Amino acid sequence: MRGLSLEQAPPLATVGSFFVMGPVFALAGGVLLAARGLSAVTQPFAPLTLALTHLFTLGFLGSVMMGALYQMIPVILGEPVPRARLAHVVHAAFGAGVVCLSVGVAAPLPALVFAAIGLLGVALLLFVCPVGLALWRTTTRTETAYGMRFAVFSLFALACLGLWMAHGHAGMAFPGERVRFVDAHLALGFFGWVASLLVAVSWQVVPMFYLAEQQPKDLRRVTHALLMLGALTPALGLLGLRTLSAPSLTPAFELMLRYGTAPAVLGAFVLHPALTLRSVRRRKRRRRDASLRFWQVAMALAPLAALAALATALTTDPRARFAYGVLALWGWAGLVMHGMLGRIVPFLVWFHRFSPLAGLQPIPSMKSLLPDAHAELGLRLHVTSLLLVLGGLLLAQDLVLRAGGAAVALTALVLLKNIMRVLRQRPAAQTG
Amino acid sequence: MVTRAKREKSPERRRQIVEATLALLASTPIERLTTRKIAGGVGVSQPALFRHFATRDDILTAVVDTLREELASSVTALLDEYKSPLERAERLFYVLYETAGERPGLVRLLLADAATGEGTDYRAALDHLSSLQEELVTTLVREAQEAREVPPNVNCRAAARIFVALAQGTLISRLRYVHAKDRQLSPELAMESWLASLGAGHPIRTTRPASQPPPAGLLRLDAIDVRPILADGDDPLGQIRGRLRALTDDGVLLLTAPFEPRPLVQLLTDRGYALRLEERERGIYSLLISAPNAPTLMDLSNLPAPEPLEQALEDVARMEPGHARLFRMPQRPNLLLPRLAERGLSVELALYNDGAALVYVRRPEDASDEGSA
Repeated sequence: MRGLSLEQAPPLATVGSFFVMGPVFALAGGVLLAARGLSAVTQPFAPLTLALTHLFTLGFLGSVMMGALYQMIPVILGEPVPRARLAHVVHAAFGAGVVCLSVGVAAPLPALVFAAIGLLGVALLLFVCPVGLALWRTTTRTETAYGMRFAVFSLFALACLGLWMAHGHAGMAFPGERVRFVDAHLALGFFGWVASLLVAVSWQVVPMFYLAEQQPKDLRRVTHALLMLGALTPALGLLGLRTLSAPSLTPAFELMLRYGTAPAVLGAFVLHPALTLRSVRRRKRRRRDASLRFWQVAMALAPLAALAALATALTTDPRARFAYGVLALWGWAGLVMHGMLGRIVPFLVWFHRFSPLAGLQPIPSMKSLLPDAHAELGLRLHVTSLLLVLGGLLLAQDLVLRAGGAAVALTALVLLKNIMRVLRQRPAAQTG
Repeated sequence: MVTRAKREKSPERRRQIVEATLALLASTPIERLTTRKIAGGVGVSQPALFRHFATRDDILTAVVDTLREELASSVTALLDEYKSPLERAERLFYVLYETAGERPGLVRLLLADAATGEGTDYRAALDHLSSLQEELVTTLVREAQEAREVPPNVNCRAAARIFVALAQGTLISRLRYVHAKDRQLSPELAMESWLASLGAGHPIRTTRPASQPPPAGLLRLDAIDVRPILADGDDPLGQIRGRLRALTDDGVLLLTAPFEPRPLVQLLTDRGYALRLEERERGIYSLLISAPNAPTLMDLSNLPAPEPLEQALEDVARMEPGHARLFRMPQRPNLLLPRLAERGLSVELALYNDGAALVYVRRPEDASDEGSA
């Protein structure tokens, strides 16, 4: 009987380190926003804005997602990640790389960006190769597996693109017209990497944790196809512009770049949230669960992100783009990540430290490791910070935006505190 | 406002089509039975008919399936009412005869299929119907041997084939001599003859007598999905019996079937198995067959993660050596399995068609729980 050896899953400390690192970067992002207010969000390509964006995308979301993949691939797909202990190196290099990138872009200090290219390149290579191999080997044929594969492929592609683009900040030449590269990078980064993985994992964890009914198979495939199309179309447009000298095709490639994410917007912010909310509404057992509330709020907010995406297509006002980014990253993706951390970290601690003692001595239940009240505080702070940041952005109110930044920092601090509280818990014989 | 005439819902219309076909078969040779006539018999147009069945042969297949289901209900009832195996066999014969009397079209179908000698689309359904009868009677004759009602040297399979041939012959006789009842072979005479030959030790067995015990059981958990077997046109009952024989006296067999196996349920209940029948997905049935000493099923599949894992681990910790547990988990428990292995427990796994997992856990007789801290 094929099973999973516990030694094949990474140790708790390794995965936990990614989950701790994520909120730390979110905290840094909140502090930056609180300190600089509107000056941090003047133009999409401004140094501070780039730093802020990467603190959230790479630092917060990236860390959490990488840690989650290390744990989920063996558990959900039944395939161990080879050389899982390389995760220590990945963690160190990735963390240092994000710091160097953010500081180097914001200051600006080209030498730091240059260091970031090296560090992030090594980290992502050491991550993508073993994880990609495990995804290649797995015999699990589910939409979750397909979604994970595409997410890791997108991570590889966006990392290559991003590291190439970073040369422009490291004292070297930018590869080409900035807007085109950024559009392709964003599409791969958000819809290919973040949304694909988040949606794929939701198909597994929402039924598993909440006894919600599984979404229809054909609709899962449609969602997956929309995400793939929306993630790849802008990149293909860029590829076409860069490699084909066909002036007659240029307008088509430009359209692909500019509007190519439309299918993914539909999939991630309309179809998937509607199906998720429906399946949750029909769940077998209606138990109160703080982590579920995160899902529900995130899915309810998702259509606003779709509207913001539409606004970016209709106007050149940078506020539309910022609002879109905030709703997508801190709203939709951020809420889901926040909620899942409150569920997954207690489970990992319970499983690694307490389950071996089940039946041999009294052990706490998983839910008691992080009471709902703590998680619900995090939810309230997260939603408050989102509203303040959006309000500050749209109304161009510096004070409101700074308050939003402080609220983001506080949210991250509470999340970090919750995670540390759980990670510190050990069976009675092991304390002291 | 114009109101439309009420349309019959699909299942009801399909039933009407089947009934009309059977009625037509009573008086119409099968080679002259057209979809136009069937549609006329139902009172619908041909296009309307084709909305429910693509071809005439599909209709005939549905006719055979309907008859099989009706027979299954009758068989279940008689198995419930009569306890002696030979009495059951005799009553089965009369049920077949009476059903065919109510459905003369069935006999035409059987005759036409045999006469043309060519494969038809409904041939598989007819073969399946015949082989079900044959397997059931084989089992009854074997049980009669175990009850010493029939000599041990009787070939059970051959006796069952003779039974089925007699049943078909009796039906043909009635159809052929419909206007000369004195020339018809009566079911009572047929049965008397058959039972007498069994009592006299015929047909003679050439294989191991039933008094010898089957090979010792090896498996504690096994699973069989009969859908591929049926798709190949074979009858799964023999394989099911073989799998049951291979179980230990505390073993469990998970059976997946595309129909409700009511006769099998009745048979196995009489043999002391505990049964749990569920329709886990539309049209797919799972039958959990537990030997007399098998552990009771602990269903954890309706708990949110990670409660199934929590409860399973706590429960196995309380197991005494030589004892076992049977869990149903919502899916393959990739995290539970290594935890069980590290405690020195033996584990077997079977999967339901919807992905839920049966986990059979046993603490060996001479192992102690070393646990891990």
